[in-house]
Amino acid sequence: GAVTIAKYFAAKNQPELLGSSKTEQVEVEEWLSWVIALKALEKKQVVATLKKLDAHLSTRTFVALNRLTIADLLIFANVHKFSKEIKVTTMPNVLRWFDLIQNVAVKNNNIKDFDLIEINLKDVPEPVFAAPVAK
Amino acid sequence: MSIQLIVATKASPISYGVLAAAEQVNAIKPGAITIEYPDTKTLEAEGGATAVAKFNGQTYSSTNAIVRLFGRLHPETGLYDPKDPISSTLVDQWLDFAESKLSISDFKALDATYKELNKHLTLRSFIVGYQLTLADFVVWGALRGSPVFARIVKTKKESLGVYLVRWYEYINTLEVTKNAVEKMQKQDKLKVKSNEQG
Repeated sequence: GAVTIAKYFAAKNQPELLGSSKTEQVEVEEWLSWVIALKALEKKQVVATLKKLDAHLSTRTFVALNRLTIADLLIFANVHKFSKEIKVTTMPNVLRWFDLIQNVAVKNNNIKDFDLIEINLKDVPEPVFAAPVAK
Repeated sequence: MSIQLIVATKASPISYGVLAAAEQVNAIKPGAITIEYPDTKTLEAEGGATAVAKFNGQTYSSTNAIVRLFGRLHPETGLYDPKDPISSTLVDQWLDFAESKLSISDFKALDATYKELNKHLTLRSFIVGYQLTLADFVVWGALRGSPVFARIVKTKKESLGVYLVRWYEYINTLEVTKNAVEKMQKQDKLKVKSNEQG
């Protein structure tokens, strides 16, 4: 399927997209199985799944490793049609990542398959900090 | 002709931003910058600066002048794009920010500055645009060298805000910043060894 094709494509063109070492490849591949699960989801389950991605991305710039990999590209491709569900108030981390991937992968390579979503980077709520521990 | 960078290894704070920017330039253009690590607090011969860059008979001695020199001499690194006046002006603004608002010791003012940075990074993966620029390295360097920031990271990281921590950890784990820090620490260890033997 699409995953196999994408893996083949990445291996032919930019091997580092798949992970350079064995450990790196394992981390990337774990996320590829997540892509397959994402594809099978009903629309109403999508928000809950995206919230899990949001928690994951709260401490990471990219999905796997600390650079762009095929995991980012495939999750982006499958999440793009749900971009309206990704709001700064509920999923700021997914929105931030989504904007990163659409700029570095889609816009910079002039790919026409995905509409660019306009995101106002300044329109963000006041960040909430962890509540102080009660004494 | 390569740029000669000299960084005092006993300085307070150590010029981490300059070192990381130099590592990034060298990663893209090997040998572009040669780095020396004298074992002193300041560079006596350079009027007491903690880091200087020398190129073509001129000497540059402030963090921002040094990194701009790197960026302008090596535009292909994308660190300070001279063809993009908006991006390079935004980078300038953040270099000024690091110099005036992060290189202080007033805890309250620093706390407000960290909050400002955290909010800025809500929807941004990099300080300016969608790739590494001088702004990422200089802001990271100012934080990495700050005792106040180090204390907060150790004791109550969550008070910095998740967005600032996510960005800081990302920059902190890049090969070039790890190299910058490790080479500095290695210099220190070499010196300790030679002192023990002597």
